[in-house]
Amino acid sequence: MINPDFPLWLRASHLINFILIGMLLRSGWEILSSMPRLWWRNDCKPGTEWLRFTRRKLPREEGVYTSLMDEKSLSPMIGLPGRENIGLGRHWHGISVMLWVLNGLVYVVLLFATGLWRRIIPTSWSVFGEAWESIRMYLGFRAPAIEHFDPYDAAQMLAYTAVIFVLAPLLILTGVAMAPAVRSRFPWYVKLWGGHQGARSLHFILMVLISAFIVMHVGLVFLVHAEHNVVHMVFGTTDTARSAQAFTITIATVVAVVLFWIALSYWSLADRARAQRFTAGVSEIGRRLFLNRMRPRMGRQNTYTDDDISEFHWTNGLPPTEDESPEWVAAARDDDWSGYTVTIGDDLSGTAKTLTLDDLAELPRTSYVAVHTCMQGWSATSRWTGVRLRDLLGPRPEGANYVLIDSYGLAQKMYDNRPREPFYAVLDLETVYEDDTILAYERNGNPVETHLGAPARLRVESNHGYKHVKWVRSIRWIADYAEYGDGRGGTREDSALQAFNGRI
Amino acid sequence: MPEIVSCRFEVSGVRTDRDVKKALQALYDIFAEHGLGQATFELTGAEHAQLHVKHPDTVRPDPAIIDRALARAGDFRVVSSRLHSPD
Repeated sequence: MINPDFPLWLRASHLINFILIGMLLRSGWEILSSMPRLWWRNDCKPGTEWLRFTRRKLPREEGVYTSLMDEKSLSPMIGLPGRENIGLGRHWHGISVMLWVLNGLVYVVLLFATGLWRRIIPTSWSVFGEAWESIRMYLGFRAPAIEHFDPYDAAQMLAYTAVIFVLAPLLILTGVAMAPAVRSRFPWYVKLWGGHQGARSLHFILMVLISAFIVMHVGLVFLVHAEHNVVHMVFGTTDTARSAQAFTITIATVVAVVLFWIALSYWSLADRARAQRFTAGVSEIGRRLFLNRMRPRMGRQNTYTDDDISEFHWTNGLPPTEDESPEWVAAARDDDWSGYTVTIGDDLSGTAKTLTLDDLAELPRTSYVAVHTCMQGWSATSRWTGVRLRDLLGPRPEGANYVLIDSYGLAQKMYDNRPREPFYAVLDLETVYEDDTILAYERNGNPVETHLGAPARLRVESNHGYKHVKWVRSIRWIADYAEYGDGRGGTREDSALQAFNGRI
Repeated sequence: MPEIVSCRFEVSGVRTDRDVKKALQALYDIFAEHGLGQATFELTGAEHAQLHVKHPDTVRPDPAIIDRALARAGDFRVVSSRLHSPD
């Protein structure tokens, strides 16, 4: 007999949830392994992390130890995809989140539409006393009688309610707080969670709690009245005569899903560029639907002030050396960067002009306090001062669809480990014209430090740090970024397979 | 802040992206202790890979230390080194 309390939609969404939770956890661990430290303070000062999964010690001085040196490699059996692929891990996380939220919404809507919410959400205070009795039995290595499960006992009801209506929403809310598009548009929201690091740490703790729930949930399914549980789960019936059949199907399904999870890793690693095209392409749907609408307003916000400026600022990529750029090194040795120039060009017509640091200082200034976030996970708050890109570039030439910014410094790594090329990033026109996209020449009221991009660096507050080119050499209008580098729109997109759209 | 300079080493045995990742993980385990920074491998199809290491000009990298770290990661050895010489 079919048990109407376990309809097909419920069992299907349970299976989909199982698949997606595994993808979420594994891609999340990939992200965590790229910055295996957790903080409560926004500036990620060395020695102040509350938890770390690395033996590497952080030197206290800035400018030598880079954040990429902290990255750890995960096995593809554990991480998705594993082997230091944070770019692909983030895309997989994005896809999994989108599908998981969609599956969750369908589940919750149908739960209320069908009235099945009554068996999950407690409606009497007596549930706490009954749940305590169940927990006492479990702690004594006994189990409540089958009569208690109709279909769930009180401890299950409380746990399911907490996971579905508390843990899952909190995971979504803290995850959203880590997107630079959200941070730059709604800085108060991020501060609500204790800043970027508070949201990241809470997200981690919630992940641990939901993992603990999964272990207990799966354990109890197979340890307490398994013959009833697996039949409910697979067939939606109460016919325990089919429990052996249901058990076989359950085990086969679990094995198939685990193989699928691992196959995703090896499929990604077999051709990382193909995996980037697929995963960044699919997760772009979410960015277009939600994040692209958010225009930054760091210059007009008052949530973060000079009082929030960080003591410590991580760096990524060290300054150009003599063999990379003799002209930048020569200019760096000038007291006033008098030998430094930035080229403003138009690749469509081949025209260009060069500006000195003094020329930049004569253009309209803008200044704001902003929280910098790296896609690896670290953050730092600074006051940045400079000139808006739209004021620097002037009118858009006909046919120009993007702006390419490149550096006097070379990339840290190329996709295929070929000899390195100058670091570059490409911005679309909407990003170029944002108020908070600037060429910065001051940080905290002083010239930008050498290791943070002196004398002029890009700030793109709606995007993660990999779009913020340091030691800027040129800023040029271009028709299509597919014609530059490996054609993915930037050095980090080419080498680390990040998304062109760095808003999450 | 001292000036950042770079040294170059020729390394045998590093041929693939996985080799590069293993070698860099081993180097980054010891770099902080020795005041060294960013490292990059370049593979050109030549017999040996090029390893570029950035560091403050106040630090002089020891090829033997780098060699030992690489050897822990695999069959990787420093074949030759071109240390930064102050002007």
